[in-house]
Amino acid sequence: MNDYENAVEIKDVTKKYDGFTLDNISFNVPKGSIMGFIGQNGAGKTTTIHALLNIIPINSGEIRLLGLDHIGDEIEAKQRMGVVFDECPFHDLFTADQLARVFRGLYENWNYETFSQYLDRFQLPRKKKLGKFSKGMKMKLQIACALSHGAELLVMDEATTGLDPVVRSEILDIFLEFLQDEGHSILMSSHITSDLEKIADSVTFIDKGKMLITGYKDDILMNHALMKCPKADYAAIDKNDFVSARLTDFGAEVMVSDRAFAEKKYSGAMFDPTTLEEIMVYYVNRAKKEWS
Amino acid sequence: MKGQIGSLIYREWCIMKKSFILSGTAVFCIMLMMTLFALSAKYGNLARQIDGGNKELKTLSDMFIFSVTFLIPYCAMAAALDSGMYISDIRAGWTRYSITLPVSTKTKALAHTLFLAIRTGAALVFSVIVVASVNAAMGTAFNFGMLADIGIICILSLLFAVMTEICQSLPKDEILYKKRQNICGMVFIGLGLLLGLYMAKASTKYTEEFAAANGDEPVELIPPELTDKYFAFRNAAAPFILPVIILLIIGIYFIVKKNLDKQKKL
Repeated sequence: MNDYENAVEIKDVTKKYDGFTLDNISFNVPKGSIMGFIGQNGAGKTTTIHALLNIIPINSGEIRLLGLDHIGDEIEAKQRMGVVFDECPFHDLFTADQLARVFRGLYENWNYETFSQYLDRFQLPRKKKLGKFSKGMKMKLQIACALSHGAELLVMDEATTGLDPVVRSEILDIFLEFLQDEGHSILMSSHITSDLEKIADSVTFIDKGKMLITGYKDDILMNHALMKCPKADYAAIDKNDFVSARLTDFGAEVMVSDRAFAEKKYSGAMFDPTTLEEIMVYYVNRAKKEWS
Repeated sequence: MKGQIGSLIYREWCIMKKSFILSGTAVFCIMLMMTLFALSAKYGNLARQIDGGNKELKTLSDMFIFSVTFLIPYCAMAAALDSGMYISDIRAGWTRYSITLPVSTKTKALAHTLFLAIRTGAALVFSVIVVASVNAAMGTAFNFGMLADIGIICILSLLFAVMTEICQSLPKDEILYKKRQNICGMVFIGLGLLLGLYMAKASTKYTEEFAAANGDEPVELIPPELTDKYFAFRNAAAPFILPVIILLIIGIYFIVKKNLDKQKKL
């Protein structure tokens, strides 16, 4: 087994479509960590994940998974990865047991014991057809399949979208357990930023195909802040010092990306800690600069 | 690789099991109808119309065997068709998911083609057993010509499979691509219906004209010149049937592989 520092390395990846370009995306998912990949719908999250899974070819750039080339060593890398999509990819005709039989031959390290334990834990029936499963049950089954062959890397595309908070919380706990092993890593795309705020170590934020932020979540949250000020004070703020500003009847809420600098420069203003969701909203409106 | 092929075949089997049961039921119903028809020809009203002559009874038996030789393999081969599987794979999201599995496109194409070959082979064996049993029951020997007839139907079925696979490679906005499942299925069912209708018409014509002729020479089900032409074609084609079947299966493998490769170029 090869040694690697980053479970996922994406370097200058570009993918062009008519009307959309995934433009020079670069980020790493360090081994043993969980990265949240955020952005609004249509931002390019799924395109990036499809590119790294080689579902779509890229126009330029380099992708390495578990230290392996994503095309040259595709089969080996995929033996050591688990993938979870937003929709269950298994036919409604299957039962959990039949799926286990399919996966047993597909993965060298498929472990029925582990799969069975997940089924018990998630209270999933073995003989019931998937057509009679709820969305939450199907998602749990998909996760059970992804985690039953000793995967080192879990790639998830909107896996918690559409699930109720109880199921989401249960699934997030599973991911945290998976990360107990230092060799395990997760790349998780979602627009439910509250989930990522709970579990992610690092975050990458893309919008309209461009990467805006990548780094450790705590650093990002620490560096960004919401500066609240009356309208009169807002007029005096240099437009280059903030991402965008939300104007209200009472004043302005300004997102700054360098809190220390802003606190020094605008010492009279009030600075509030921010969330990933707020950061996302203010960055999406960065072109307008001012919005309400 | 063997384990992966086995798994992929098992997956396709799980999906197609329902089609096999439906095809099996259709074959059983047709067999039942034909048996009733044969019993009627031997002991019932039809036999009374025929005036008991051995020659006429033999003609009816021929008609029965003729139907069995063509219709049963036709229905059995329907089970080999999988025009609906691609659609259900796309609907379920398996097409995208399968690319994330540690399986090469070569293995996937091989598994798909191998399962098609197994289904076709099973349909062939089943057809031969049914046709030979019916022949034995009617006192006729199963001959090489009948095997060739079944082989020709097998080729027809594989051509449908080729058509289905080619439809998969069409651009997504083509009407043929959008309606591929309906078109392939309808053409196959349509041809089956035409064959059935022809036989129904031929048998009606036979009983009517035979009754009108009142015991004269029996009416031929198919014009003799057409039968002769078909037999001449069949005899000439017989040595090539097996190689054509093998070539078609190899061709399907390459089309499937090309389609799987193409999925990544979207």
